[in-house]
Amino acid sequence: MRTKNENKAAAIRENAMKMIVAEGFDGFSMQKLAKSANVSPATLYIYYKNKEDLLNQLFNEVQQTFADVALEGFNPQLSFEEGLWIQWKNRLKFVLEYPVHFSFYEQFRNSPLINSSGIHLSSFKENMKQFVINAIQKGELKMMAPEIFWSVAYGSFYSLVKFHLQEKTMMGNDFKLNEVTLKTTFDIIVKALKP
Amino acid sequence: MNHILIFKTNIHSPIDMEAIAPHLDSPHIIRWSVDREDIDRVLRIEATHDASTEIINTIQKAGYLCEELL
Repeated sequence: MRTKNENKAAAIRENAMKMIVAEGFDGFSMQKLAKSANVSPATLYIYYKNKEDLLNQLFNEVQQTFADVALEGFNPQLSFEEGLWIQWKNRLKFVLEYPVHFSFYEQFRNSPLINSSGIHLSSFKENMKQFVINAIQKGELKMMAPEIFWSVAYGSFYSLVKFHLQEKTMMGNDFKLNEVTLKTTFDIIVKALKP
Repeated sequence: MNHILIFKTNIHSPIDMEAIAPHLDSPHIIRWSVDREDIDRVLRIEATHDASTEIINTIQKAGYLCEELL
């Protein structure tokens, strides 16, 4: 008879994410994870039914952490400019505080695993949708297709994040994201999105 | 809290799954699954009490390998 232990569970999750970020989904197995987390395979099965169950649970948790960070100090009633700026700051905070989570999250979303039935949709999306609807109703944001909105409102942000994480730009120059660069980009984006 | 029991087996194909299913149909067993992709074909059982010995005997009688996974 084996019992669950929260510290051990956290260590397993952390190791699993690191392994996947380093080696991808194909090279990942319960046996390898057990070895790297220094637990017996049996211990892993206390928490997870199989690899797929583990990956789904990991994703749901990472998504929850992302939502918690992104929604700090945010509500859908905020003015468009203030709300979007908080989103940029919070999302950057998530990337900087949880770089492994972020890489895992991106990797998972770009894989067929995202279509698994074990994935929960987060309430985060509902918040973001409401924020955009409010902004349009208040006349603070142009009416546009959601894809266009996301590409303009967050596309440039995630490009800067990518340069930051790679420490290089598309030109191969060294790069570190700072508040001035972030704000300069943000002001251009807000101008483009206003009616 | 439920007891989680973990075994190493050689349950591999869908036919194997069907073969053991009736043997795991017990009021003490809440749910069970087999990780057929894993090298140890891990049988995971959530039960109301620690029925390890019983389960090992049952699965072995059904003609499959079943031992505690360490």
